[in-house]
Amino acid sequence: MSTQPHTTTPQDRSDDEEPLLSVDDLRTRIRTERETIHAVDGVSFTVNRGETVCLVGESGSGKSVTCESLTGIVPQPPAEIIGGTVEFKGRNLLEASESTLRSIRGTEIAHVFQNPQSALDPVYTVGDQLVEAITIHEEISESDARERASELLRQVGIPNAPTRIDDYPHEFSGGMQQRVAIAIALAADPALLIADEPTTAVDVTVQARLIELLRELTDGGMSVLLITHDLRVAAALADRVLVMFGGTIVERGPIEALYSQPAHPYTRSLFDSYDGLSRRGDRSARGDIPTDGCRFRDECPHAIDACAGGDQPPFYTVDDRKTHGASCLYYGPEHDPAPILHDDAAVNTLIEEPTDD
Amino acid sequence: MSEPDDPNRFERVDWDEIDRSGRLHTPTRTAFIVAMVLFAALYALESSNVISLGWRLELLDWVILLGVAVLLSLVVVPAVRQRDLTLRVLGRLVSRPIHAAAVGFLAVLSFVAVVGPIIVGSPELAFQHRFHAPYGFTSEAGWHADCLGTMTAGEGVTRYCEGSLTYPLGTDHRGHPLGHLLIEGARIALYVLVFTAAFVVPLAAIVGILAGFRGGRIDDLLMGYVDIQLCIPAIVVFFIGYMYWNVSLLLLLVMFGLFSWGGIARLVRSETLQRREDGYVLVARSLGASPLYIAKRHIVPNITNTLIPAVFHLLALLVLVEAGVAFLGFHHIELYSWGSTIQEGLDPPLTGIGFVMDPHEIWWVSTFPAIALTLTLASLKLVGDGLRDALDPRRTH
Amino acid sequence: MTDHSTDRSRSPAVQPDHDTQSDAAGDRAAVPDDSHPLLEVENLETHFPITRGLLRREVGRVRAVDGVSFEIRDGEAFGLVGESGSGKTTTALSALRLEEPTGGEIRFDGDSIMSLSGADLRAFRRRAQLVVQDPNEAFNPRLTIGQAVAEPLALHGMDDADRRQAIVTDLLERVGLSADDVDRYPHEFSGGEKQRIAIARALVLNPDLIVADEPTSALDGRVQSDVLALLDELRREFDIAVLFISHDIDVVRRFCDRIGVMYLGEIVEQGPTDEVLEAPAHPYTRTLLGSVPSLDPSDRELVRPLTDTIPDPSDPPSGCRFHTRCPELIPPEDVDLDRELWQTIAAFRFTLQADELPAAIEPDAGTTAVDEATVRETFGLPSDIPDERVDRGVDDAVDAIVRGDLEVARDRLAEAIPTVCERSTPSDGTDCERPVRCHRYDPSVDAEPLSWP
Repeated sequence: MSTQPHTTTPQDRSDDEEPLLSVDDLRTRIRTERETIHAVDGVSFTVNRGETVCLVGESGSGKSVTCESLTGIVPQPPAEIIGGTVEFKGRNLLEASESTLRSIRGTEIAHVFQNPQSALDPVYTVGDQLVEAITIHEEISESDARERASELLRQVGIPNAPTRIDDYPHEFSGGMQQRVAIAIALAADPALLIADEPTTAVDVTVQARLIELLRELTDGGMSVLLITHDLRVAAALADRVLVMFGGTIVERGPIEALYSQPAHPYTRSLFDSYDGLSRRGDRSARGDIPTDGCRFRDECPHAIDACAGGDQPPFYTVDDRKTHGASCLYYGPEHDPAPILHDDAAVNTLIEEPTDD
Repeated sequence: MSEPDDPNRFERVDWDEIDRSGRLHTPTRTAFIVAMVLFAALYALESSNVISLGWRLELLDWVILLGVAVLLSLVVVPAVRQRDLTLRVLGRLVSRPIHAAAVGFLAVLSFVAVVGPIIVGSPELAFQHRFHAPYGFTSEAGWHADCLGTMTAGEGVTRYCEGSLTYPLGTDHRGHPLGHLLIEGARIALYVLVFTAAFVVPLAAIVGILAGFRGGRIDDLLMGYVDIQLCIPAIVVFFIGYMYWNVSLLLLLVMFGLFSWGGIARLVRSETLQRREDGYVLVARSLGASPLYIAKRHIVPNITNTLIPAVFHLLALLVLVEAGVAFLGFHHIELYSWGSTIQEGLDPPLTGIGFVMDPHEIWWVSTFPAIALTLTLASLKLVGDGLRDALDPRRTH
Repeated sequence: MTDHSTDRSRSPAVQPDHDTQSDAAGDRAAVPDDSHPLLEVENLETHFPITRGLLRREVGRVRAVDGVSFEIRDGEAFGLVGESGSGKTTTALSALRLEEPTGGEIRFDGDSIMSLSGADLRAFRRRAQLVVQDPNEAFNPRLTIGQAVAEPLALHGMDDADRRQAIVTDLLERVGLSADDVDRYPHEFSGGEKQRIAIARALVLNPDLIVADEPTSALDGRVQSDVLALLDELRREFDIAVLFISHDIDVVRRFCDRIGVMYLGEIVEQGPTDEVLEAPAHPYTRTLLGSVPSLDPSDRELVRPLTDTIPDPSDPPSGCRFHTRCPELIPPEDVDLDRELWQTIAAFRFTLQADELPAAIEPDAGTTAVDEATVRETFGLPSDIPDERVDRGVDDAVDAIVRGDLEVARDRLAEAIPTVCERSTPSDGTDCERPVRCHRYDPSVDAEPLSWP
């Protein structure tokens, strides 16, 4: 399959091992009074056991809706999952009953959100909330649950766990609250942790500690699906990266490959925004993102007529690395990606040697 | 520092030239002052008998007149000045039929309450016309000394007097036409509304905003007072006043008005506390805006989501309280409140002619004012909710 | 430890293409010395009283800003970076007199603003503008964008509505919106557009200074870069100075000519952006820089301060405020230990002091008693330390922990390993070409600056 130009399902890694989570052609739309938004428009990816997959994109790209659609926690209505399959440990979650989903959430797939305050109930102590999370899924005595609760707090690096267990959420700092939220997510020892911008609301020094904590968790065999807008956080954590734009994944690949050779013009413009102060020349003020073809074409300096219409462009391999694919016609057999790769405005030179100093 | 023709400046404004002295006279302030002066002059001239308005004004009427002056200058003048906004809000308000109906009802009520008494005068005693049924219904003939409608054939209690167009809504035990009583009740309801809107609501809003905006000791003091006040039932205070002073609608309005605003003040305060932390308030402060300006332009418009329904709830509540107190009989005997009329219909007094009537036999005496009261309360609630939505640009209709 | 960011600023793709800091800083240096700075902040103190009871008795003070000095020249962009709670926002608001300073001096264009009132205060309010952090609450939801942008004009007495309208439409077009947008309400715009409008509102009075409090932290990716570029373009065109508050070093790097790094109410280091960020001198600056993950996925190392707890600003640590977390804490003069070992011992001391006990040695962690080996293993302490006094102190402390007496352990450590960083307050050291508030840059202290890779 190495030369096959496109694949409909991402086969990024091993063929011998069944992925933990396999999402195929997921589609979620959001209906408002005025319009219908195709927030997730044909998204496919896999997460293997013990792997950290990072979904990168700007706000509005549909990355959060994607992850909330997996276990059906996206509010329905206004959202509606209209197609695709989400296979987790061999079960299709989109066809599962609400009670099955409830038992999977928390026990097998846990969520952590950007704002820990919203995940913690201010009127209960963190101990109460941990004990609740433990006993919902497990028949266990109150005292054993408390024992396990302080064990969890220790695991996420909260000092003096046995005393702090009786504190209320507001008595913790923002970073510590996020640790508590992670501890609650870990209560039932999930196989997959979905973390939606877990470090966005905290300071860099705290973020550094949370990144270390998440690394420890993946070292312990947990799979993590991390959502972030920050390429730096992704660089620090991810094994594989999915870049999302306009409800579609536009580029995917192992972190080293994707970061050393960002291929899709959108990915390249994202990297670009970490450098100087270039203003996007072609900025459509309130322009709607197209709903067919390449979603990025209106903002893409290299767009050609073929980018419009039809389905999203297939994933073409980049640099002959079969695991690194970009949904961009330039990487197809009929085009040459040189103009994109040599566009000076969009280069991530970090991994290449500086040419002068 | 930079020359007027400095190309690096996109616009030159000579701030020294811009005169700030004229800023003290905003139309609202001017209107308020003019209205107050006119009111004071009218009161002085009338009470010293220099001019006569043709009818005697009681203290209550003067208070309500003052309230009207306040409302005109604080609500109507700004509304007229921002004509476009007002029209848009009104348009949004009446865009839903149920809200339009409620607005219509309140408009008719106000019109009738103002114009009605002038046209029909005050109701006069006409015992000979008592208990006439509304047009299209009948009452026992034996009740009437003088049946204005047709008498049906029959004997004794089976002989009926049909309602006539002279009293289309029937009459009560004093022969007062129900139509007159409804108009009189509407006037009282309007008095309650004007008094509350002109005096109680601004008081609550000012205390709430002051406490929330200033914070510190002022907040502690004001909210401490509000807490104490909320513990005192207004009705007890009213009854104490009832024992010592002449019973009057003014006493009721003052007592209930003074003791009922604590809840709104608290609400306004907590909303103000949230709003004052918002970025646009900080930006306005950085521009040197005065606290009064910030309160008027940035705080009040943004607390309408909770303030407006609460205010209309209070208005409805006080109309109901007035009716309730009158129902219990603690009202001025010459004021025909809906509440007292309902009470007289449900528990008809002995009229000296020996008849004991069941309430259902004279159902119209209690039913019509009850309908009027219900419609008024419902309309107030509906307009409150409708106005809240209409004022919020984020809500799409 | 390597930090890629230094590589990045050297990388050819960045600097030559966009005329950013270095050129601008060069221009600035050409300004003659006799001209006074636009904004001078000297020893600024803003303390908030902590009060209790009905009479609001003062029981303490939060030293939000505690002796901050910096200056901003005409057209210069000065960045204040630091974690939340460092006092950077309070500094900015104090500079606009939106918080009343409790001490120090602020001069704007040479004149003190501390006691301005009346027309002078109004003139100052026209010349210094504010852009707030969250675009979603930067605008009164009940006013149209046109009204919001025109508000500064109206507030300062321009009654001519047509003239206001003309200025506003012109400005909106300049920030990339259209004249038709004036009648729309804030909720109809995206976050990036709202922040553009906020910039327009800040420009409408022709200011000389814009104070921007985290103007892009609510935005991400390309939108952030976009708004930043717009602000940069406008400030250069109109020669406006900017006081830029941010927690994101990468944003400051791209935007500011000079930066000041704040920690617990103090500026610990300030200087030209590229110098400070390429060769950070203060250990806190280094910690901040090292905490930002690299864009290079093969470089995943993150700096770790001694402890994670940021001390309470109402009771800041004595001496250097960063000493409880400082990886470059100065050892006692007569102690000569390997740097790594010294760090381990210092971390041991301040972890105990900050009550950040790791799970293994918690007093009631479980039924098994803590033994000496566990304590040493947890903190990575060797059984023998090549300095007698320190060795004894650590031994005693470990014993005390085993007995469960943390108080004694803390005292013993404080006694055994005193540090100048805790004893005396550093002044802005002279061993560096820019002010660095660290004893290592003080010639009278026997400690050399550590090298930065």
